[in-house]
Amino acid sequence: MRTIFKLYIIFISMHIYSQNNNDFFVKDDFLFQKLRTSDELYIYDDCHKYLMNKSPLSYFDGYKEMYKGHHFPEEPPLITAELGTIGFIDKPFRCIWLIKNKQLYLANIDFYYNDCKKKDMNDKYSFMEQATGEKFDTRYRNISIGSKKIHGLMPATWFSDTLFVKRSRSSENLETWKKKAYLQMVFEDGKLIDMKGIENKTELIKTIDKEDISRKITQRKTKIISKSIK
Amino acid sequence: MRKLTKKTLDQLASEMPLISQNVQNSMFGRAYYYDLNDGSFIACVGDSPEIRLIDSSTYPAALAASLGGITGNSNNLTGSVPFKSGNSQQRENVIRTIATEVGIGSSYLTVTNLNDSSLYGQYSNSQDMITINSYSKLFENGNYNDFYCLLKHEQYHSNNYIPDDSAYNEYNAYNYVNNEVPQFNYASDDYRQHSLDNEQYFGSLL
Repeated sequence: MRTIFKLYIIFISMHIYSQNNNDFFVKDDFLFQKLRTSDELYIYDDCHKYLMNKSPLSYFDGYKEMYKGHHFPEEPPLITAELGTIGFIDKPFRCIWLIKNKQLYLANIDFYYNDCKKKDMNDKYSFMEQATGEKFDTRYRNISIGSKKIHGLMPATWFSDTLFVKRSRSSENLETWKKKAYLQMVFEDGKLIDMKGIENKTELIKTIDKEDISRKITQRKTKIISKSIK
Repeated sequence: MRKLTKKTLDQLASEMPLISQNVQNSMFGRAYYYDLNDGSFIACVGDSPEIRLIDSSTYPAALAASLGGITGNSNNLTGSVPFKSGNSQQRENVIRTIATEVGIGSSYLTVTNLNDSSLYGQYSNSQDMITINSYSKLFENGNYNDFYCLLKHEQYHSNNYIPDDSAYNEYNAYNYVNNEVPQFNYASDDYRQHSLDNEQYFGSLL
């Protein structure tokens, strides 16, 4: 009788374990809550790419639409990539940022592949200079950051705020990467004045409820239709 | 001299020897075979999702040799090479053939190196163009079902694009492939995990 009871307990444990694996997933603070831009940050002498919670251009109102109404692409492509390797696609272009000697610089502006193929967009830099009031110093074109080319260095003197950044995922699996810490960087007039590591909080949550998602999708469709009617 | 005539598939089927599914699954050279020269589909042998390239003119002899046990010490048909060993044009030809099977017209597809192995592809609504990244890990693995699912994902975007809502577009595309594309069940573990993770992620952003 005791043996049967033990076997029953083992069976129940295995059942609960398999339910855990199938019905839950790890939600972390950085990927699910903070990451809201596809801009990338590099640190001088470190070839790794860092994902960012927001663009330092967010200081400027309407920055996501700064190229609108000209000959630039007006919407970003939809990108299929492994989670944790690229940021959240938030605008038609992506900025490449560099920290060198504690100074934050805008180093390049990148429109996505299909969109830039057929158009000459060399004036994207002068548009940016007009918008920010700063100039690119193109003497630094030979600096290599990861696999990215740089156009020059524009000091982000307007930026006095906090960034949360995390080294992008490379070969580790997603669950391992999610648990890794991220960095809090505090800037004043574009200068890095404080930096510390933040534990990335994770929680095991129930997988998405398809009925709940269907409801949200219906609400979105209604919004989209009412927008187009207006 | 006997006159050569075209035969219907039914006639051929009645005359040719039949190979059961079990035999196919255990036979040598299990793979999806594509022509080295133009990327056209030759045959699917057995149950392996691996893509292999072979000269279509030598395929019948290579298959016959494998059935006769001549190449019994190898799992691959003589003269065939794995997808990753093909040159960029040969691999692009194969992707275009799979895209045609999926229902994507050639003029809506670009295959190019996007310099990032974790990036599989993208869809640009403004150009109405699907781009498949030839530098992605999928090209290293050469799994037919992975490419099929990826192309279905991008095709879904092309047919169901909603402006200014990437989370909505992505959730729907992943949800569609994960639940309605039969090939998803046979994709590699990595691809399946990627697709399921992304469905959860974009679903949580809605």
